[in-house]
Amino acid sequence: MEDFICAIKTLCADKNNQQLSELLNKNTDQLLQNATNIDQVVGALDPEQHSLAFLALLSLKVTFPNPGDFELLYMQIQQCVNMCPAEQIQLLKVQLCQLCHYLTSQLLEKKQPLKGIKILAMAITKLQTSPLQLTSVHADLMQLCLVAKCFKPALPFLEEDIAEIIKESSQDPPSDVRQFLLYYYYGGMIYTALKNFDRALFFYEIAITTPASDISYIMLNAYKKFILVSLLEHAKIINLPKYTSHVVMKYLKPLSSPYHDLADAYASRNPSSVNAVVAKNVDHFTADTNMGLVKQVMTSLYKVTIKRLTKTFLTLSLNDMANRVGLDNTEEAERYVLQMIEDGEIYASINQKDGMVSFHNNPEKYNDPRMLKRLDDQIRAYQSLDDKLHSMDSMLALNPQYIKKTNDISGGFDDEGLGKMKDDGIL
Amino acid sequence: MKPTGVPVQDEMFPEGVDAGLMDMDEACSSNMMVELAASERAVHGDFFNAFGDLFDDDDLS
Amino acid sequence: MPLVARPADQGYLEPMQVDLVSESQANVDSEFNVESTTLELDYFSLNYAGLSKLRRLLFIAKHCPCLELDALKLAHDNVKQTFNTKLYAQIAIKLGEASSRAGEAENSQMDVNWIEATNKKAAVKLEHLDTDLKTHKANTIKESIRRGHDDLGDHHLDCGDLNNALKCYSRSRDYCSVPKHIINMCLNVIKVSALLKNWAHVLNFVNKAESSIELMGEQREKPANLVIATKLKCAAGLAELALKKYKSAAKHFLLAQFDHFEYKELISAHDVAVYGGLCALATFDRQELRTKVLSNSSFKLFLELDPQIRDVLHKFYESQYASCLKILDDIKDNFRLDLYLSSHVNTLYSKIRNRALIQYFSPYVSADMGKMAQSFNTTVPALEDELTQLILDDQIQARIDSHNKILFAREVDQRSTTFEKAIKMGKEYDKRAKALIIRAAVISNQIYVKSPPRDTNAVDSGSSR
Repeated sequence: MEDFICAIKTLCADKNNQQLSELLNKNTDQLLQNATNIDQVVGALDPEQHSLAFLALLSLKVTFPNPGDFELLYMQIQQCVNMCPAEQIQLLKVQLCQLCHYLTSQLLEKKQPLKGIKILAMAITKLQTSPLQLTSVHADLMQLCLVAKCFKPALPFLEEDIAEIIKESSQDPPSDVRQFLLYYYYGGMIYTALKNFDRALFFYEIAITTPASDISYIMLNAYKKFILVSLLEHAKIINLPKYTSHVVMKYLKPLSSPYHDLADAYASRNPSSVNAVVAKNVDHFTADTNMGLVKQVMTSLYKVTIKRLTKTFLTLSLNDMANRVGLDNTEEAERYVLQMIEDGEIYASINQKDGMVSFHNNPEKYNDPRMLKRLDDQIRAYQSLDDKLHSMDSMLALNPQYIKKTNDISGGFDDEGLGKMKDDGIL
Repeated sequence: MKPTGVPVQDEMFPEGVDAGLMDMDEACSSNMMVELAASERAVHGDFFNAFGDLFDDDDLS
Repeated sequence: MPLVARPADQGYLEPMQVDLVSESQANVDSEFNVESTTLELDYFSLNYAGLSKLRRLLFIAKHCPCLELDALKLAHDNVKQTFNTKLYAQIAIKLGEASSRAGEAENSQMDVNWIEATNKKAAVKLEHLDTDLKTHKANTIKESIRRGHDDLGDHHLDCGDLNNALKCYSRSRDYCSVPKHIINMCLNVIKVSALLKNWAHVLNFVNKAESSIELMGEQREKPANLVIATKLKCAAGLAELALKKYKSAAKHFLLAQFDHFEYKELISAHDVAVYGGLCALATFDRQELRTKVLSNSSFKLFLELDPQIRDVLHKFYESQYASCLKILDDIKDNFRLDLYLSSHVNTLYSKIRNRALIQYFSPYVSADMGKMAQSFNTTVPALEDELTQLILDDQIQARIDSHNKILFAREVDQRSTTFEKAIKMGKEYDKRAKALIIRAAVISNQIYVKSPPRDTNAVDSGSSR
């Protein structure tokens, strides 16, 4: 055992990764056959100096049916993630991802989600060479944050606009889809909880528009929440892009019929028909744990109607408003109006004396330096986004596989692919 | 007398004379069929979704 | 091999329609009764011929109790001049019921002998025509074959067998040698398609016929051809009306030439005035109303047949909305008894009313809603509701001061609106571009939802090759 540890240390110092890997593989049957032995070796190693061995051994240990004391393992993983240098971790991405998945599932089981958040965040940063990369650990982090109801640590990651995906392994594409969908579904949920509905819709949309020939329950759940959040943000179901898989229309839509019924009722702007749909489907919504969102949708209907009134009226009595909106009394109408004024959703004032509401125009005139600066910044951001798309486009045009594929098409027969590419100015 | 009500089909009206009238309301085939197909070809049935209701504003207080 | 991402997937410009279109108002009022009407059946029935006339009479009988018996009697007399024994039987039964309800027993008997004799005659004639056609075919005389098909079509139509009539008429197409024949074939198909309510076909064959007329050169100006041109306009107008394309319907009717009008088997000149006038009112702006309707010398002649519609148009143009709407109300019941107009009356009326409201307010910066309500025979609260809807639909740019009951024109701040639009578009672009970047990554990493193949022999698919 001592010799083994010494050999590891030497190989690590020499950076002889090839032999190190051989050495470890050779000993999996004897020296490394149980957790206690591994703990002994790991205990003798320095995660900073011997990080490859450290990480490899831990990833072996978590595959055992009995990996020993969890507190010890937790500390080992923590040490590994915190102290192993990023360059070394880059070499064993798969192993680190496995460690993270294992940690996540254990912490969930032990109901200690908070304990994993920092570690996973660190692990992601070390796995990445750019913050625009999506790893399979992202989904784990989102999951822990959701269970812990602690969303802040997730935000720095969610706010990045993903441009690359780090594959966890080459042999196992199904787990890539799963982690990808989970990230966008969980991310959407976090944004939904934070009431950043616009961004939530974007996340759900990414999940829903993932290429598919079969049904994913993750997609189905994303679709249901997409409908509800879409109602909250836009008062209707917004369109999905053309490239959305036919699976959505063919299966997800009929499987979500209570949600579509709700949207139809919502479109009628009639609170009682919305209530009727909810009453009819309350079990369904509750089983989907979407009742909270459904309730939000129900209240939002009153707000949407009030907003429409601001477009129509200069003045309106609270009484008339309650009638038009379908509220029970003027007090309730007043409560809604005050709330909406406070939230900046409408511009209005209430005359206490005669219960008359006056609606005003949006005071924003788009002419002060602050607003112009903001617009300028946005334009610049869009321009750089546009540049990025163009550079992706030219990269693609130079990709040998792409050229081969398009040549094959043009050499063979004129199918629609070619025509489409011609239309898009790629050929 | 020739029988009436025989659908007309010729080169001018390949879909029959009342093709333009047909109400193509095939919308959602029966839900049961969809669910049947769904169970056949569905994945990720075991994914973790047990967060409880995170969006119930009434619960927050 | 990784599937190469195509940025060609830029379908985001035309997002897929996932919205549900709610079509709620289907047949709202197929069941209704009109109590009183100024319709004069004798005069009415002079204007129509053929199956169309029978259908119109039956429609009136169904929806107007006070005219039921007379309409059925007329239909009964008319159907006996055809070979249509099926329809005769139906009419006879209805007439029997209506007569006994009215306490008149004399004409409640179905003439079984007539049915038998007529069926026999029809069969003989059919056989005769069939033999003729076979002979023509054997002799391969193109023109005779064409006529043979047409004659058969006429006979089937006379028997009420629309499907076979259509079949025969359209078969004659292969034997057409000059544009005139094609036009004749089109008119036949149009006639039957209209009876079958296949409006898409009607429009289709109107187009065919019109392009054949184009080919006739100077002959186009011949009176017979002008009659055909007007027929085609009327058929197209009727089809567009049925398809709820009211503006297009109005345009077609307005092109009908009064001096060359002759289309009893489908529509009367009086109908042209009514259908055209109502559709124009519902969809034209003031300018169009003046140039295309009121100064249209041919349409004026149609309008002379219905002075009330003429008055409605003029009063509307002169902004006398109260009296205009009053007349419309008075004649509404007559329109509801019209086979082709009935189901559109409510829609057209509300469109006309909305146009009037819009036009009323258009010159004002502010309007007293009390006065406005008076001009529209309504109350202030009801007017407020109507205006609310129009404002929400962006048909009136105004806002209501409900406190003082004044309607104020809204001064739109173009600059702010432009900014708002630009910001919205920017956001949308940002979203689409970012989604596209992610999609490129998804495709190049072969992220794809697919259930694992159950068959163990199955090769894992999903790769690019």
